[in-house]
Amino acid sequence: MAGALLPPEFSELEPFAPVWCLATEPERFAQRMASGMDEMQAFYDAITPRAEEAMNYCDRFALDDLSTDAQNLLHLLYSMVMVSFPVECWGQPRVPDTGAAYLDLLVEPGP
Amino acid sequence: MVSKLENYPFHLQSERRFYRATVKSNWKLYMDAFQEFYHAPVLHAKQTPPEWSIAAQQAGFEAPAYTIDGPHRVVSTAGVHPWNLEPNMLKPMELITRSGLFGPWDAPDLGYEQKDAGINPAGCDPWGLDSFQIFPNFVILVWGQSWYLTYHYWPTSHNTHVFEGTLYFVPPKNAHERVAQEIASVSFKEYGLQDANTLEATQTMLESRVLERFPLNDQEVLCRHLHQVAADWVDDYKKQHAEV
Repeated sequence: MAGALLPPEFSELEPFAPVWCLATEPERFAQRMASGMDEMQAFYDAITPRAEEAMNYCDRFALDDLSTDAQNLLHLLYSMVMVSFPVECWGQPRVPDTGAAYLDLLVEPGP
Repeated sequence: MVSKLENYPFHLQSERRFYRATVKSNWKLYMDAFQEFYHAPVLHAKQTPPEWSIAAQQAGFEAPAYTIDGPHRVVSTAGVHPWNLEPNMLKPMELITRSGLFGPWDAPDLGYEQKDAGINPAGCDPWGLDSFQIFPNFVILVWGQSWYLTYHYWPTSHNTHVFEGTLYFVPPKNAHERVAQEIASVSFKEYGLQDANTLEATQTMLESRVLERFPLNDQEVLCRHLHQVAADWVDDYKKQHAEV
């Protein structure tokens, strides 16, 4: 598929890639806050059945030598983790009972 | 108490995540929030399925060991082996990633003896964590699942401070391990936001001076100790700087 972000085996997840292939936690957290529950539920429902397969695919590479599409897939898995909290626990993007509290992740490892 | 920690393999855990927030409360309030754990089954109840959270609330919480050493303190907790729980007691994402708040289920072997490092003093199996409260404003929290984190609390005024939380893992060898660390880190933030939320309100309440005394229970012995030591230090300072 021309312009594909993900490995061909995961083409069914391609519609979610432009939104959720995000390299950093601040980007993923901001996308979560800007997304509706329907959007996150659809992404969650699509990726969770393929998660083990996706991790196995990425395991074929060294973490410091991932192909571009494998790195995108790994970032999509991180976003799966990010949306799992609204989907599985909260029913809303925000963590309940947090008021004006915030916690910024300023340093994080790659890839 | 603390010095044995030099035998803990900090050097193997170089995968680092660094969080920071400015908090509108006195620094000691956030220390209090993290130096007792009986709040967890109540404040964080919705972080887990009801099959787990209801059982946890009914069981209550009691730490198996507290230690006070001069101005420093440590609390140790028992743990759970999530992989032995019924699946309905876990979040689906924990089953997918084999990880969660407590850290990766497939913990790396750090090759050290707990006794030599002065951790898990009650000999719990499973063991949860040890939280070392190093006076005045530093915490090292060692998890049973072979990772650790630190907290720094930097006072910027009597009613504001900067909180810093740093997580350390063994560098992941593959995507499975990397994703397992990711959910532990995201879980830390989900819980931490709930812990932080009460602080500003508590500060406002304290400044009203409506209440002057606060009964603290036995599970809050470390809170009592921090405030006693801090008050002693302030008193000593006042005596040394009193005008003759």
